[in-house]
Amino acid sequence: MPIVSSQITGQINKPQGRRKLLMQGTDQTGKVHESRPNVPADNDDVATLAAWVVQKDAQLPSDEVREEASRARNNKTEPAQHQPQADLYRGTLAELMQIEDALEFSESLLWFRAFEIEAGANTNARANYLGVPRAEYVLVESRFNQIQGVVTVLEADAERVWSDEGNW
Amino acid sequence: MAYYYVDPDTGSNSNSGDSWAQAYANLDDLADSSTLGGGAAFVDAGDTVFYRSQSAGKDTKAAQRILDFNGGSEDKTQPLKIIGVKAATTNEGASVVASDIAVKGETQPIFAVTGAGNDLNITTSTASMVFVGVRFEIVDQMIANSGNTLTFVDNTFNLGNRFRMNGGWTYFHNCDIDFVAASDFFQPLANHFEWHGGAITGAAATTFLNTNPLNNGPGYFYDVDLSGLSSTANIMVPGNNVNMAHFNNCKLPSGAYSLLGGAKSEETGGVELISSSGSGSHTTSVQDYEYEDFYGTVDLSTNYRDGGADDGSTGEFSYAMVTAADKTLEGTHAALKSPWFRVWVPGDGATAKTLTVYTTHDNGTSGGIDLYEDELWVEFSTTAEDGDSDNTYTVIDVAERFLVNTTAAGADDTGSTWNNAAGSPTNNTYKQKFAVTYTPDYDGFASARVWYAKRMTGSFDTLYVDPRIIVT
Repeated sequence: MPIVSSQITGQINKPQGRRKLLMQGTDQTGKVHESRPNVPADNDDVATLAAWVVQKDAQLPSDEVREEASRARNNKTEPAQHQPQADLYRGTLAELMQIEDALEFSESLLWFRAFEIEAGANTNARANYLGVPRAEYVLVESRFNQIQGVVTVLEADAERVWSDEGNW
Repeated sequence: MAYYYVDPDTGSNSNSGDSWAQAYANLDDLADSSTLGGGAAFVDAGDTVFYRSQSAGKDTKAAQRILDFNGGSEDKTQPLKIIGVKAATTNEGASVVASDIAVKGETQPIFAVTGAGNDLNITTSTASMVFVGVRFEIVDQMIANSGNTLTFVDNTFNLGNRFRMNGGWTYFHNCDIDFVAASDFFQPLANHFEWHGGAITGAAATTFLNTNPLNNGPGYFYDVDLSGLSSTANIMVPGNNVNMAHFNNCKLPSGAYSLLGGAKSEETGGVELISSSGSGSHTTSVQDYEYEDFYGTVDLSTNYRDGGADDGSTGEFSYAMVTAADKTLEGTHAALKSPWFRVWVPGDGATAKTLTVYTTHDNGTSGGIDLYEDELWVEFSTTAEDGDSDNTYTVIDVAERFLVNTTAAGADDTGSTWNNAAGSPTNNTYKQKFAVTYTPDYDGFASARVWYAKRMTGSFDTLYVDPRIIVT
């Protein structure tokens, strides 16, 4: 769903006649989106607002993917609002797979396990749910499983750390 | 004009150098005929050198030397080109340039990679690399992986997709990025990135920094001409876990540019422009300031307070702060912060000084009253006042000291006159001042910055801040 209402709510007067436009758009969920372009004195503000709404409409799915990727690393999720749920999961997984830092990547493990439960009973079902070839999904699954193994080892190691007193 | 092939992995300086099978081993020795087997080969004007290496440290000379084809005892070899290739045309080579060499040429030698999907990888894990006067022509991505320092001087990057840098510290000095398509973008991922001088050229890119840029460290841009971006460009579409992008004395597009595009989060980082927000040209005031992050925006405004900040160029001015909708939280760190303001304060250990910062705001959603203490406060940092003049530590003092007070407004200001150069409103109704008194032991700078945490749920409420700290 697109931006359902938009407005220019104000401006800030800057040197050289330029202005900072304060623009808001509200989507179908009631969420407010903003843009604050720096415009020249003779700018067509209404056209700038219209162009931003068109641009924002197109960006909403990718914005939602990035927001979900951020949530995933904090073990949170929200239902898709701007695209099919499977598309949101697929995009989020692609976003997560671009994380190079293994520790950072591991933060999304719990999110991935929750996704697995929702997406199907096995690898085939989950690949089918996402609409991707099984071989490609296995690459994703394997990385999460590998990082799961590392996390398990580290947690086991942490359990063997002695306290600073009471041992020997 | 001749072609030479160099491969530190498989080559030998006793070879003829005229094919990959007969490749020389040492790029550096091409400039010195006396060191090559047979003594016959040396690079001359107009020659082309194809270079490839699959692993770091293969080149035999020490790190960071400059391959100087135009100086020293062999001053006869310009112009020439150095090409690292993975081409579908005439010269097949590796796409990986991995070495501890430095490359220098004065007439734009080229590292060229053709064909979609073929990336140029510059890889070094242990050594620093320096590229001077090199033109990189990359149809797809250029990727630099470094555990150390990469330095590019007087280089041009002709990119068909993006320049992605991982790890290490990376410096650009007088470099240009020449985009092929409007969708191309720059993706610095170094632990620390600096770019001094240069420009964005070619296709007018709609986004400069994109796809989780500055993921590993901040970016600093000085004297970079960004006016070649689209007239409606986003300076950064950040993504997640992104650090700050600082621009100082840079030239911005003349159209309606935005600092941040796309989704924002607390991990977004932000964009800061200092003396950079102009109309396609450098501005003349170092006070020119523009900032945006998850919590809102700060802008140089022509609104001003009588007796307030005046840089003699822009004239009287203030900073306009507008929090983002539903993003800030009163009384917490989730607030929009101004830049630090500073003033020199004399101290003798006996004379009390009072520092005062003045603000005013539009009515907006604030209910027509001054802002409460948990919505707006000022953080001061001063020299010591405890009698120990040998120490130069700073003390932090919050003006009102009661940030949790959600019902009491900060101190009212009845003495100031605010002016709006563009007409009404005059912002004179909701004036406030924030002060701290201390007895400095010695001369030194005092600093202050404003925290604006008023949560906006409807129309914007613009806060104007006079950045001149008044000392009495």
